[in-house]
Amino acid sequence: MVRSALHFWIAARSTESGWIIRNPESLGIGPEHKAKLDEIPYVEHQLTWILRNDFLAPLCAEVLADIQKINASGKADDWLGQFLATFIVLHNYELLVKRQKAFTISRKWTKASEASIKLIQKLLTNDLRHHTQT
Amino acid sequence: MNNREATSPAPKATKQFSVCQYKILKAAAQILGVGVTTLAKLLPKISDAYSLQDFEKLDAAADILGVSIGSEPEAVVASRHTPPEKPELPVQKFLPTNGSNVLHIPSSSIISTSSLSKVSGAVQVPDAPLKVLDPATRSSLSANAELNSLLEQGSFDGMCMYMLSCLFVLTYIDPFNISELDPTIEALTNGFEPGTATEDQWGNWQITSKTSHLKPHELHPVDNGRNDRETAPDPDVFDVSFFPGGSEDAFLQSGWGKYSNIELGNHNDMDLLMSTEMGQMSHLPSHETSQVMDDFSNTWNADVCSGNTEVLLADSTPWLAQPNVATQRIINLPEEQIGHTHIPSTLGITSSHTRDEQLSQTASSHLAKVGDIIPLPSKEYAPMKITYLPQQSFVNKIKKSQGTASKRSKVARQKKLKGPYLDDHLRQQTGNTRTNHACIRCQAQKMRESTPYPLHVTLFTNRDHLQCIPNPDDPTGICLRCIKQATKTIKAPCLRLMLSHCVLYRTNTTQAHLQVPPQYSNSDPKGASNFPHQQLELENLKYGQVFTFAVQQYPLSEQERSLSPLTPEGNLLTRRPYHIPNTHEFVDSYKSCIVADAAKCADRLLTGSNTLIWKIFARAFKLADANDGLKVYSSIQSIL
Repeated sequence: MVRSALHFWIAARSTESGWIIRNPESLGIGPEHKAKLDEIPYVEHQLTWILRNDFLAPLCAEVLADIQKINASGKADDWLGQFLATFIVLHNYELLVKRQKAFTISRKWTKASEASIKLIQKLLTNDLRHHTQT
Repeated sequence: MNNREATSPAPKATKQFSVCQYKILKAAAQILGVGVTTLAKLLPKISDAYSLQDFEKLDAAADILGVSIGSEPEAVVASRHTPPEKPELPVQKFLPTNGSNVLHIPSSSIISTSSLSKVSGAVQVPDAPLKVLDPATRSSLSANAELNSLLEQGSFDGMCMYMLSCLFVLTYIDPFNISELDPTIEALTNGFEPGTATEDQWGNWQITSKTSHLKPHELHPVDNGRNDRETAPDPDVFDVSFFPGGSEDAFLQSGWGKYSNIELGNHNDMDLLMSTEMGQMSHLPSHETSQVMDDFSNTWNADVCSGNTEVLLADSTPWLAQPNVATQRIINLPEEQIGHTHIPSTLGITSSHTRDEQLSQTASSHLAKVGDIIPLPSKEYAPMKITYLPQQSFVNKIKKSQGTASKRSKVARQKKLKGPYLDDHLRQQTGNTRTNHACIRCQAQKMRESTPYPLHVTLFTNRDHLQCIPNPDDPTGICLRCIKQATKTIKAPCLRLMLSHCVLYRTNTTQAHLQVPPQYSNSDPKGASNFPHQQLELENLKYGQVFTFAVQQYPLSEQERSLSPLTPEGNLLTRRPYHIPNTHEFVDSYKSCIVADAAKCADRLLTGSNTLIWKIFARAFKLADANDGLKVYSSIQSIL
């Protein structure tokens, strides 16, 4: 449980930042371009899609199901693991909100930032009804 | 030591612990900041339940908290009884006083309560905490001042520390299992059992006892004016009549008890259970239901059919004109079992047909509608017979609910699959409930179909298709049933969320790259081609994960090839037509990169955070994995 939570904690950061190509010469991208993954649009699109749907979604479900199972069983055997898993999941939320805050600051209160501020408010007030539909 | 034993009389609640149990007790006491005797009085269970593994866990927790647990030699521990401390046990402070009636919950003394109420926002925290009896231990807590400052900031760290302390309290002090104790402690535990939890506008919870002066209707919108809180207990929740046999034990001893073993989340079993006659019996009085249940459980055991079943999927259901998947179930049974149906007479169902006749009837009625039936390659089976379509089960169900008794046999009882709703209104209701989710009360009490489950089965399974009657003014707010219950004692608020509904990562479904048009928007590889595979090595900008995977060119169409690269259509997508041919390889390589670069990633993610969080993550890495985790653990320790 702790292991999958840690893996999720690291993997959820993958969709939050860009990627650099380390060997751009092999694909015919010259050194004059900035070697970001934006240079290959379909690969970037595929990468984020696969990471979200084939990797993060099942991992997230696994972590939550584990925590819920242990909570429902009512046993205190693995309380340290239980605590650590919930702590990691909550810390993941903290990182999400941090990133969203940085995003709003960078956008300087535009329309997109208003939406993210609403999301943060709903996160803090635990009113996630409309954000559960994915 | 010996002199002290001889002179001082033995304390009241003396209990001999073994060495490791005493170690655990002392460690827990030191972490909680409570004296050993107070903890020993609160822990009658420790002699059986806990072992050395718990001590290791406590050691880990103490390491996180910055408390040192010294292990003592055996001779000292064996000669040492519970040390005579001051008898002032501040338990009475937790008793519900006459004025406020707010339930006091014991929390560890290392957390200042005034800051807790800010931080948690969930439970009202007692005014008087457990007093630290030994000032030396309190001074030895290095994390004490740090913790208090954290909690007063109301930061995330403080919330986590609160959780940690609550875990200690909950695991080592179980208020529901304390017996053979002083009357004061019994009075303390009595305060836990009844009580109402109310939630105000801002999500703060208040737990009040039954004789509270805080009226629930002040917090909830509707009050009918009746004051039946004290006279009439809530008949719906946790009542004895909730279990049809009269009590829970009788319920479990009868044949129905086997459904309590259903695995959580196994929806097929639950649906099977609901599609049987169980749901129809809720209108009978209790003594009749128990009789019926006994009969039914006997027949149920005889009904278990060992035949080979196979399910075929067809494309459409013409008689419903809906694009749902229709299934045909082909059942092969040995002929000895056929015709031995026994159905209890109390249900009012008589089996006039044998199974063979029914098989032929249902088969003839539905053969022409579905079309061709694929013959199975039967080896040693008897000739296959089509028994029913799943929609037929639903028709039977509706007929029965309308009053026309349909003839049901053993075959009908085995139906697992649910058909679509024939009634449009019902279908719409179900759709609404699936989007808004049913609240906990309606899930537990089964608004639409009342079936006798144990509560723990119903609470933690997804049963969103149950109807939760929404408030017409605010469909996502408090449901009508919960508003009605607001005048009575409330066990659970109207909450529609479960833990598994949480979304822990970014899920925006828009296109990931601006130049990828919507017709490209699936992630499938673009088909096989003869281009060679090339290795692409990526590095994350922020966190420095490095991983490689195969990339291949895909063939462009002539139209795409003819586009000049300067036009907006002929963008990078047509100039560099690369795709990921093998998604499994990609996922595998990413998994390995996560394990390999965990130390680097954790280092970058945790920079700037508190040392407590560093310690917790170090322990988590140590607990998670033997090899890689230890590497991360050592690297974090070196940083600290």
